[in-house]
Order: sequence, then C-alpha cells, then structure tokens
Amino acid sequence: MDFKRCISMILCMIMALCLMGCWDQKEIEHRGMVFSTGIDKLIETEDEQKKYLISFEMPILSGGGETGGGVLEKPWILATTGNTVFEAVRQADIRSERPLFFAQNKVLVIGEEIAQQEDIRMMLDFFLRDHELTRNMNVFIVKGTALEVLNVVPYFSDSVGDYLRTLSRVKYKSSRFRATELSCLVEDLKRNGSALVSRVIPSSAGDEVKLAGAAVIKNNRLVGWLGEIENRGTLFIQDKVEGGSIVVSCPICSELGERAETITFEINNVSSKKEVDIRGGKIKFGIVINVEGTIQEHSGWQYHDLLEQEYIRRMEKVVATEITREVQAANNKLQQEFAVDVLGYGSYLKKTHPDFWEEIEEQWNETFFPQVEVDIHSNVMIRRIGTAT
Amino acid sequence: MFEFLKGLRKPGSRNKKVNLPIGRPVNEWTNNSHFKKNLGDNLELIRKIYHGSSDIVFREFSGGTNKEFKMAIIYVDGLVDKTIIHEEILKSIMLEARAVKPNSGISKREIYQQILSRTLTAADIYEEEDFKRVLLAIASGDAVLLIDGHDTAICVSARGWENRGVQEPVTEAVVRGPRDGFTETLRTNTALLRRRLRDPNLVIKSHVIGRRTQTDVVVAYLQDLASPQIVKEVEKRLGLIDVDGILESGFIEQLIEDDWMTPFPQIQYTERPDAVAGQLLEGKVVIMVDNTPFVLVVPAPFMSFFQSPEDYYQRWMFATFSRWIRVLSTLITLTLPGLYIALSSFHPGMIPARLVSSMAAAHEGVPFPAFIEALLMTITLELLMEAGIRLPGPIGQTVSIVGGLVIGDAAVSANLVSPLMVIVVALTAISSFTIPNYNMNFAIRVMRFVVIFAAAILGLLGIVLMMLLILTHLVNLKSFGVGYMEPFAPFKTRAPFDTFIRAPLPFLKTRPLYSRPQQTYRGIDHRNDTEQGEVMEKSDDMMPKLSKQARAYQDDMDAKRNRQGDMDEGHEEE
Repeated sequence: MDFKRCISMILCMIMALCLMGCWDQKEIEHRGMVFSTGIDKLIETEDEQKKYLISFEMPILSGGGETGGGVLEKPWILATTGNTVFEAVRQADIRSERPLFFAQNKVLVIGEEIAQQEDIRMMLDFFLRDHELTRNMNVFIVKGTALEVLNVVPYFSDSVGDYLRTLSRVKYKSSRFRATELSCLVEDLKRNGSALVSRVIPSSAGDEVKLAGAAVIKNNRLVGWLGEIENRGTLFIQDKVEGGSIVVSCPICSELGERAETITFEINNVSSKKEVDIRGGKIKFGIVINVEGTIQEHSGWQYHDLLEQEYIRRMEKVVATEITREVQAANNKLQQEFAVDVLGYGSYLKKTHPDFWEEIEEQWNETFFPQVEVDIHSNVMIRRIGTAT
Repeated sequence: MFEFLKGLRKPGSRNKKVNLPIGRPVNEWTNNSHFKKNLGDNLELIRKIYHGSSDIVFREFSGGTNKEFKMAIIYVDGLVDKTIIHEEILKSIMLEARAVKPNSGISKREIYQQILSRTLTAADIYEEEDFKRVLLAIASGDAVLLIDGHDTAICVSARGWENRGVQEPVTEAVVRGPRDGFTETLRTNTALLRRRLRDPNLVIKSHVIGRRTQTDVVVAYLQDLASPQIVKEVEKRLGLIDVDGILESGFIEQLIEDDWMTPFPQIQYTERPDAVAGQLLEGKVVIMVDNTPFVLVVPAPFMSFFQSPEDYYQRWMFATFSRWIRVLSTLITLTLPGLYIALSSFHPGMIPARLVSSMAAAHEGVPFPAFIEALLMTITLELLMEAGIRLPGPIGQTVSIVGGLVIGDAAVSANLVSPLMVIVVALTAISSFTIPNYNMNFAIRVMRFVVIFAAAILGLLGIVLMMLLILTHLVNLKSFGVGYMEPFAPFKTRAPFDTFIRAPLPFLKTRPLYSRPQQTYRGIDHRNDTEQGEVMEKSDDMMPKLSKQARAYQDDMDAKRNRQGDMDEGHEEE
C-alpha cells in the first residue's frame, strides 16, 4: 500500500513537470537580443496598409574560445515594415534565425516624421503590453530618422542602445536634455495627451549623436521642439535640474565702464516650489526656485576679488535674474506658442483645489491654461568660489 | 523532501527490540563453557576455541622449588607489552617462587592467593571467573594467568600495541588552537578529554557494541549540564544497536541518527579534543568509539555545522567575518550554477545589458545548453575531487594537472564550455571547501545538483521552489529531539548572537539552548562584580560529589579567604 502510494506520488510529480515543461527556456545565444528599436515613417510605399518602418539593433556576438568573445564592431540593423509594431516584429522573426528578444531593449527611438503624423501612444502600446519588455526603457524622439541614429557606431559603447542609455544618465552635468522613461511618458500622455520627450540629434557625419532639448507632444503628436536652454528652463519648473552652467556678465564692469567680463556659474543644488492662488477668479501660479552653486570661471580675476561679500551678493542677483529670464522664456513658449500644459500646472491645481478643478477641467487646455499667470522668482546662493580668488 | 518515501521503510525495522544484552558474543561456546580445575583441560578448551590461531601465545611454566605449581599465561602477540609480561609476571613468579624455602608449607590452595596478593607486581590485575569475559580480556590485550587447580583466571592488564600517537588532525586544521587530535586508541582519547575537563562531573560511560568486534563505545557528558533526556535517548539508541561489527564511529552515527532519508547530517563529528570539550561545556553528549579518531557529538542542529572551534579562539570580529564568509559560500555552492542556468536560459532580461552581451558572446558556439554545460562541469569537478581523495599523493598531482588543464583550458579552447561556466564552477568549488564540516559540505554539494535540475526545468521559479522545499525539509528534521533549525525555528531573540555573528565572549553568557543544558548560565562575564558572585555560587553547586577530604580542604580555603578579607575570589577558585 505504502509502496503503491509512493510510486503514484513520484509519477504525479513527473507528470506535473511535463505539464509545466520548459516553455520559457531558450539558450542565451539563441535569442536575438534587441538592444534598441527605432520607429520611422515608411516612405515610398505602395501598400497603404503599411505605415511603419521599424528597425531593430541586434549586436552580433563573436564566438567564445580563448579570446573570450565579445561584441563585434557593427551590429545588425534589421529593418522591417508593418502596419503595427507587432506585425513588424513578426516580420523580423521570419528573417532572423534567432527570434527577437526584447527584455534587453532599453532604448526606443521615434523618428520625427512618424511622431508628427501618428499617434505616439499607439506606437508605445506594444512596448507596454508585451511581457518581455521593461518599462524603464528610455524613449527618444529624433530630429531626423530613427534609422540614422541606429546606424551610428558608437566609439565607447558596444551598441547604440547602450550609448544612448548611458548618455542620458549624464544629465547631471548639463541639464540640457531630459531622460524620458517609458512609464513616465505613458503616464503623462494618459493625463492629457501631452508630454516632453528627450530629443536626440544625429550628427551629419553619422558617427555620433547628441541629446539636446526636448520634443513637445500635444494630443499624442509631435508639435515642436524646445532648445537646450529652454529645456533647462522647464526642468527648473519641474524641480529636475541636477547641474549645468550659466554664463553671466560681471555686474560691476558695466557700471565702471570696464571691459565686460564673464562669470560661469555652476548649478549644484536646486529646489523649486509651486504655489497656486485662485482668488478673484484668476489663476496665478508662483514658482520659487532656490539654486546653490559654485563659481567655475571668473575672467575678471585681475579687477575684482571674489572674497568680497558685496561682490558675491551682486553676482548672485545677476545669476538669479538670468535664471528667471531663462525659466520665463521656456514657460512662455510652452504656454503661448504651444499652449500645452506639460509642466503639471493642471495636475497641481487638481491636487490642491479639486473642487475648482472639476469646474474648469473641460476648458483647462483651451481657455484657462494660456491665461494662467506664472510668477517666477529665483534665489541664488554661491556656496563656493573654487580654489582661486 | 523525501517525506513521501518514508512509507518504504519497513515498519519498526530500526526500532526492533534486541533480545541479546550488549556485547554478548554469538558463538555457541559462550553459553556452556566454564573453567575447570585442571589446567590442561582449560588450555585444551581455549586452544580449541581459537582454532589454533598462531597469534595466541600459550606460555606454560612451573613455579615452586619442586616445580610443583603448574601455570600458564595466555595472551595475544602484538597486543601486549612484552616487558610487562617479562618483568611483572614471569620474573616475579619464577624468581619469587624460587626464593620460597622448600617445605615452607605453601600448598596448592594457598599459591593462588600468594601470587595474587604478593607476587604479581603489575599495577592493574583482576580476577575473572566468567569464561567469556576472560576471552574478551585476551582479545583486548590482557595477559591471562591460569594456575593448575584453580577455576579462576587472573587477568593482568598488559596492553601495549603499536599506535599512531597524538598527531595534528588532518581534516580540521586551524590557524590558532591546539594541535593535538584524537587517535585510534580510545583510552588515549578519553585521557585527552579528561586533561581538558578536570571537572569530576565529566562522566565517561563505557559500552561494548558489536557481536563479533566487541568494540568499546564510550558516552561522555557533564553530569550536571547535559540534558538527562538526551543522555537517556543516546543510551537507549546505543542499546538497540545489533550488528556484528562496529568499525568506525560512522557505523554508530548511521545506526542512531534520527532520519536516514536526508542528505543532511544530524550528528556532528570531530577529531579535535578541544572542540569536544567545548561541546561538552555547551551541554552536549559525546560518543567515542574505539579504533577511530572521529568522535560523535549530539545534538547537532544545522548551524553547528558552520562553526569551527577556532571561532572561539579568534577575536569576535574575525570570527564573525569568517562565519559570514561561510554562510555566503554555502549559498554560492548551493545556488550559483542554478542561478547561472536560470538567468542565461530563462531570464536574460534580468542581467545587466553589458553583462548579457558578454555572456551571450561567451556562450556563442558552445554546442550544449547551459544546463548540460553546468552538469558536465560540476560532474567533472566531482570526479576530480573523488580522484584526488583516493589517489596517493604523487599520482594525485598528475590528476590535478590533467584535470586543471581539461577543466580550465582545453574545454574552453575546444568550445565545449564557455569561460563563464568555468568561473562559475571554480567559484562553486572554492566556496564548497569553506564549510568546516565535510558531512555538511557533501550535503550542500548534493543539493546543488537538485537546484541545478530545478533551475533547468523552471528557471528562477524552480530555484525558489527548491529552496522552499529544502527549508521545509530542514525545519522538519530533528537531531535527538532537538529541532534541526534551532534557534531560528522556533526563533529565539538571541539566536543570531552565536550563529551569524559570534558575539564578543563577555556577551555569550548563556549556553546554546538547543542542547537543553541544565544550567544555562555560562558565567563568562568577568567585568561585572555582582555577576561574578553568581558565578561562584553556581560553581559551588557544581561540586556536590566532592570527597570529605576535598570538602575539608575547601572549607579551610574558605576560612583563609575570610581572614584575608576582600580577595579576588575568581582567581582563587581557579
């Protein structure tokens, strides 16, 4: 009896194993590892059904052996077409003997033209829905075509995916671009169909790219660009500035009539706060930006001593004015030119005055947002002057 | 995890009641043979029993001036110290007997008493009437003196055979600590123990197990510390053993362990006397077996296999660090090959991007899936280890060179395995050697294969499931009534302080509770005066069995101490 029970238990366990199987098992080198994906508009198409030209970057791995193997210089850029993203992926699967594997796909590049013409949320749908993909992938909109970016052979990195992803982590040095993660982007798009996405510009020589500025998305379509400095202005409002430099001219020189000298101020620490006032039927936002930083360069070293309190205080004022101007310009562009609320004014209002928000929600984008008064004030504190006076 | 297999065990196969008392020989002659008065008859009988074996020496001689007293010595050649036989027996009897004046009136009846009380100068002699005990005495290395006309034998302890002497233990080397290890002679081993523990409470109880081997087995414990239940359980299980031979303590271990359907050992073994003394002080029970340097310690929960005696000799930070290393290496040994398989064949998305391309590149061109590759390499490793143990030294070197080349170099050059797999297996091998106990090391190595299979079938999920199964199994195990995972399951608040960290000695005031000691307070804190007093009280309790003389001496000391006033009592007691 015992023996029978035992045998049947073992059989049950073996059967259970067969049921589960190894459905997910596939050797690492048999997967077509996709490191980055690009989406472009398909031009010169006869078939009206196909609108996407999708390219996948798959690094070609050299064999093992004593050298240990590695990634060969030029990856395979596999370009396919399709009416939907997934259709294009399946098109790729009939051309690559190693089925495409997306878990390592950390970069998605969207071409300018397709972003202007098609719904971006729709393009991202596959990347959100498929179980293989991760939501911390970086999304870029390229000024040009995605294929141009994918064809770049980076100098340091193994792949364009690695290049772009690593590059976008260096934001703390300049704040001249933004890093957009898929999860955040989708959240923004869900709110009111508008978002700021990081912009990538390939060089004309085709050997490098730069991350600069942002793409403005309104109603799920690309409507325009923000420049590098404008992008930093928006980052100030969002409290996402991590670093960067501001060049101002010396405050005293002009008074004394001396040669104009430049001062380079490096941003070290930023905190900004929003406040909203809805009294009197007018919506008025106040933004206070507190900046701490360092003097990195001071060309007037022979005329002015940086150890003077008064001089430093005046310099702080000049930098603050410059920052206010920069933020104001960026804000105006978004508010007046694009009339798109990507900086979260609406959601802030919703959080602080939910009843009022319910009344105006319908007309917020068209009527109220362009009328909102934004009052920007910045304080600057120079913490260090470096190791020279 | 093998719980379901327990049905296979025949009911009561281990707990069968044994009819024979311990140490009863199986041969027929034991039941009806006894000594006769006639020396010739006795010798004839013994000769017959030993079937004329050549190593049994029968030395017949005569004593007295007229050679009227016939005697014989029987011993096993090689087991006795011949000088004792010469000096203490033959010389004494023959010369002493010659010195007796003729007609001095010593009769045949009196000669026996005369020899026993006056003539024999050996230290350790005893009379024995029981025939089978005499036979056991001969086999144990005693010389047996038979006198014509008497049906009682005089056994002289003349044991002296070739032995290895006390050497440094090979299997448990320490950087800091005593260098002596147990030997194959039980008496030497008990002496090594007694030298470390002069406490009269150290009980060393003897048993004889094995129908044919008649092996001495000793149970040692501290009377006022060790749990009486555990002692009773040990003696009960030893009493139930019914085999014809005990050749090593491994026999005892396997015959008395709680659960044989598990790779995890439930009894610890060691060949270090200092480790045993430490275990005794923790209230554990020790089983020593003749003819082996390996001593068993019970109860042995899981964490005790990760402790080395050295942990207590080194400063606490060092000891804690090495314990962490051991725990870490156990995890590496158990899971690393499995993790490699799971990550590379199931979840490449979880590997960082840079690593994934080099991993894939390293695996490019390797014809086997990661599972086969891992299996191949781990089996090769086991082969090498097994070959290394069995082969004599000079050939062992060849094996290691050939094996190293095959594993490390040729297999990679031939693209049979990826270089990463070699690193994984090498790391696993190195990690497995940091587990101080070879038994546990083996258990973990075996479980590694199970984890590899689980990973190959279900990936990370398989590893998680297998680890859960292993943990469940561990929690279910018991070692002499003590939970295997104590003190973690059930959890005690002080559990981490002598397991994952070895707390500084002043904080280790209590003995580990899993051995259920009668006194939990260890009294190690020398920095607190009030607690010092408490220690003294306890140590007074420890000495209830002192002789009158010793007690008088102690009272005398106490009186002196009182006269001297506030003296440091702690050092006085030492």
